[in-house]
Amino acid sequence: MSMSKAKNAAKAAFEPEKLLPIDCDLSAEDFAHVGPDAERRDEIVRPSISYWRDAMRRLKENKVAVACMIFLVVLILFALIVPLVSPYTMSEQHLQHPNEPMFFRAEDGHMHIFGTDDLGRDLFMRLWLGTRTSLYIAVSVVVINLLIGVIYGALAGYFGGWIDNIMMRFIEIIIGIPYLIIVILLSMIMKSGVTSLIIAYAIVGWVGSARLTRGQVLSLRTQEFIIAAHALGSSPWRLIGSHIVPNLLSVLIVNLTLAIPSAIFTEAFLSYIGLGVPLPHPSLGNLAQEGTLRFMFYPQQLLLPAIVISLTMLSFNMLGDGLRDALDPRLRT
Amino acid sequence: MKKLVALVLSLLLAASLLAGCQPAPSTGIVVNLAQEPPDMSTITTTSTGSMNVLRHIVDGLTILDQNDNPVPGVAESWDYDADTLTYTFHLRKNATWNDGKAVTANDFVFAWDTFFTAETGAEYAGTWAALFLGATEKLNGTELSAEQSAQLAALGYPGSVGWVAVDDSTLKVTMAFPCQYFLSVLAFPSTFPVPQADYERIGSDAYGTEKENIMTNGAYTITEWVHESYMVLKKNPKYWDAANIAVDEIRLEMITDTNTAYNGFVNGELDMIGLNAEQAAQLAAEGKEILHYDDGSAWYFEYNTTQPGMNNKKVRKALTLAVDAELFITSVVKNSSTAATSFVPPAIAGGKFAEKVGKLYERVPTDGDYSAVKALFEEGLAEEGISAADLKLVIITDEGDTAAKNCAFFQEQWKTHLGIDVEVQQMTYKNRLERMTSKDFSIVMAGWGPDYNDPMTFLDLWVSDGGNNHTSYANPEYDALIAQALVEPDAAKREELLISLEKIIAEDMPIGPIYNRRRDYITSERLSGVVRTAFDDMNFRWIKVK
Amino acid sequence: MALLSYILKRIGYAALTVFFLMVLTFLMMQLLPGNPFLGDKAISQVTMDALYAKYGLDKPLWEQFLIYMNNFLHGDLGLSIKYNRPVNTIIADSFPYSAELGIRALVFAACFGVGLGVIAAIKRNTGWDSAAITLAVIGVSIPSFIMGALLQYLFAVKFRAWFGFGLPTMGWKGEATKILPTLALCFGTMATVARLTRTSMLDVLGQDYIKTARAKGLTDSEIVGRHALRNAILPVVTILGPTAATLLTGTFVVESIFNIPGLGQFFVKSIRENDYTMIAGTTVFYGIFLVAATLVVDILYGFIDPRIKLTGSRRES
Repeated sequence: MSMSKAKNAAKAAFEPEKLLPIDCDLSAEDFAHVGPDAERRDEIVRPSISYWRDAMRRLKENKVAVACMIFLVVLILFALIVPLVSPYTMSEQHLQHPNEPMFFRAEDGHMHIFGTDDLGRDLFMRLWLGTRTSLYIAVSVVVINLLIGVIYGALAGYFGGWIDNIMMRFIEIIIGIPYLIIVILLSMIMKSGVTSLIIAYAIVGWVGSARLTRGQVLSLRTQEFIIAAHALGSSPWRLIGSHIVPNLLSVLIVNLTLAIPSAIFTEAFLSYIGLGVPLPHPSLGNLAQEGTLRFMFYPQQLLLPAIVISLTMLSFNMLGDGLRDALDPRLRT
Repeated sequence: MKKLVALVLSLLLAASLLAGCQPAPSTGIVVNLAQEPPDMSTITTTSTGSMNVLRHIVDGLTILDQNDNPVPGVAESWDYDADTLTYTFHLRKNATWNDGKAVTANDFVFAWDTFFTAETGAEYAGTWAALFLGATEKLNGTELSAEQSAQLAALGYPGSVGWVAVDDSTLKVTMAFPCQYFLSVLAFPSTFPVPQADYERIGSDAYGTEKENIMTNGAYTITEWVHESYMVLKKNPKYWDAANIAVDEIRLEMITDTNTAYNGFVNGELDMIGLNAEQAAQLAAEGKEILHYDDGSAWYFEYNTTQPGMNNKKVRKALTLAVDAELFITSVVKNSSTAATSFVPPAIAGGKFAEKVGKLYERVPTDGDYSAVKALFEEGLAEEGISAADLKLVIITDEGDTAAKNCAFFQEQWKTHLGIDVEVQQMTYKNRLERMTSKDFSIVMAGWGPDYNDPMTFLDLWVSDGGNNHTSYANPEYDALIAQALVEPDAAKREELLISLEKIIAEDMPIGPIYNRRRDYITSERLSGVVRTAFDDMNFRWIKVK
Repeated sequence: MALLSYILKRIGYAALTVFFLMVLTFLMMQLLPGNPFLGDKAISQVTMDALYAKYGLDKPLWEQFLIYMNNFLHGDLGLSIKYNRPVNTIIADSFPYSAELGIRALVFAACFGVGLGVIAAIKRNTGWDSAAITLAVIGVSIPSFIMGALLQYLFAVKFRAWFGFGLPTMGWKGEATKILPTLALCFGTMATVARLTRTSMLDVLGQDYIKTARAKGLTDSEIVGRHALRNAILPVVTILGPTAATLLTGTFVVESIFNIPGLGQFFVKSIRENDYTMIAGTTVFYGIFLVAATLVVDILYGFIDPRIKLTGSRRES
């Protein structure tokens, strides 16, 4: 573009009468050698934008994604702050006011914004504390999936052949062993708590990402640009890291965002067995589970945690989509 | 998208119309058994669910009437000789098996011989062996004492056990001690008859596992059994008392999900379901009549008396009394269950025993002031030379929301009344039992349901070598009193002994009684006369349908 | 021919996988706390010994395993300790229920999920797209135990209260009873499929060959049907493999909410009850399904995307 413009400008300026007369007397002394301009030589008219910066820019332009990010920040702030400033503790039981509706005001003037649960515990406090637990789980899940699942799957898919075969058979064995057995055995050697919970998840939680990654890599590694990169002598790590993974991201992001709710509810199940968060600690999963038992009579006890989970997931997903668009190499402008 | 929505809606609609056309069961009733009966062999079964089915399809020598009293079943009448502790039962001539052959005395003899054989693996054998002369020795493979052998020979028993078929319709049995609840035990499935030929044809493993693998002589026969889903019982027209059986068909659903059972009832698909607190409150608010029954179970903390701190009875007493059992019932259990003020629950002996024992402790201190309880707690700890901070208490409990809720309540009670933090560990049922057996706990919430209608079924739990005593509590005085009470022929004296046992428990508190459970249930309006008691969990024999 | 030998080789691997699975499960289940006969009521040592002997649990572990393997190779999965019924019979009785429910849910989830995902991708950043995402996210965020309870309450109880008719609350007899369990079971899978389809569809739609096709003047539906969907379906196929094995072999939650006598209930209860033979039997049954499903998925990869070569590593090919 800029080249052709310059040409046009040159054409427009071509007016013979304005040229210097032929007999113009110029000698070599009229010119001085200014030398190379170190500063200007390296100056590039358009700033180079790195892949990641470009992605961030496009993410910022995506209004939905920004809204989701703001929502998540607000959610995190609530989860962090509400339990600190609440006049109630998570275990405090107002047994004279069980199962109260939202915005219930006790005789002594205390307000339960989200009402109370079966034992008269303040649900506003418990919900946000539960959100804190569940968000912590969500983050761990993403990390575990990325760290173990993606690397495992990418290696299996990239190398293919017998390596892939063995790695995939290993996954089948892991999925094949009933999860309940694994969990019960773990509960015998570990105390309940978030760490145990994450370990219990990590043992099998990564296989979904691994399988998905492996499938995508199998398909990607035969594409021309990978073959070209390989022909140019890229090392396997570089190939996987800078050529294959960016092309996997879109499917991975979706998979990760979908893994979060299942982890949140796995927590509820693990708490049941005695591996999850210890009593009386709440989590979104076990709040929803308790709510399900009574939703016909006190629908808010199910709806509130379900809405928080759904909205969180929705923003994770929308943000994920925004991220996907932002990271898509083909959409670069 | 619009088309899609329309398609889904119309599909649902069409299906609903179909559903609307399905006729409601009118010839019979549909009730929720709430579980798959795991073992329907009368000889080996231990499950309440199985027994709820078995008492409709097999009759023992006696059956229980509406008030838990034994009345004639297969035995039309009997004679009792108090001197030799011997019953002679005269069987009905018209009692028949489902294949038409008569129920004979030999069917009982075979069933009992098998039941009291260790290789059979019947878990109740140990409990009932104490009642029958020679049964304990047969079960354990030990020799009879000379005295017992002489007794058996004198009574004319040919073998080494105290039961014999005199002829096809006469059965003679001798008790090992003057047991006042013997006739009720004969209405318990373990003692039901089994025809030898069929048992051997079907095989001991397969007996009672499918509808065609079980011989019945009762008011109903099984016509359909879809495992883990439902079972259908049809009235037996040849039953000796068929004229008095009102319902032609009983469909037993095995619904475990409480919401589903409730929805099914509200929808008119079920005639009887158990209710949880919220469901009972809702239905009561709608003006429905909620029914209750005392299931006979006592719920208590078992304390591990070997743990430092917990070995002190003052500490155990304080832990028990720091829990406001009245509040527990009104705000957690939320039904007509009663707070325990002694150990043996009121379901035993129609409440007469518990009444005689009286209130052994106050459940709620006057004015709700727990400082005395806390002082007792600290006194106990001081005696053991440890501080409350050193006392690391762990209460173990089953998985599930009810257990979680109960323990969250106890945890908070101990926190507010004693100022201690007790850790709650939820685990699977088997894991809890394993931990209890290996004494790896400080406190466990446990319950016990009666096997027979006598305080002994509860009190003998805490003998030093009792298999169900996980507390490590060992008191020679207690053991001696139990042994004395077992053989005491005089009812009044025996009662005195049992009362003194109650007092020892209240004093030492190896266990902390909390409450005696009652349960809520509801039946559809067309149904009346359902019997539910501690010893007859579900009985539809006396039912009437409008 | 290469495919045939590949399949044969894979079946060999599958047998090995199942064997390892059996060994591991066999060892792990012995570590479960308690024993099958532990109950509320303590039983005497004599009885306990008799029960152990009856089920062969008194033998050393390796011997138990050899006996089990021998029976297994003869097609006998043993006798369930809890139910006293042959595990073969239990599976034969209950699997058809689970399979029917699973197939219904799977077909429903795959068809609607892919449809929803394609619509969302084509109508990207429109109301259709947002609606599809929202539906999908709610589907994933609400697990089947909540979805089942809600559907049951709404369509069985509330519908009857409002309109005088409704679906039955439970059972598995007649079409009407099958709608709610299918919906409850398929929702999560459908949502996952929809999300994955949309995103991988978008990847594919950005590819040069789609641009070429568009430049050639193909309509949207031709592009999707002939070029895009085939390439976009890969991740969906990947997740549907193990999902199919899980759905078909029974799902405890939905089966217990709707009182369906499927295999899932037996599976879960066997573990809680330490019913060793039943655990081993159901695990191996599930394992066979699982390896079969992944084998099918891997073969499908080759058909869907002919560039994928499974038979060897890239360097060899």
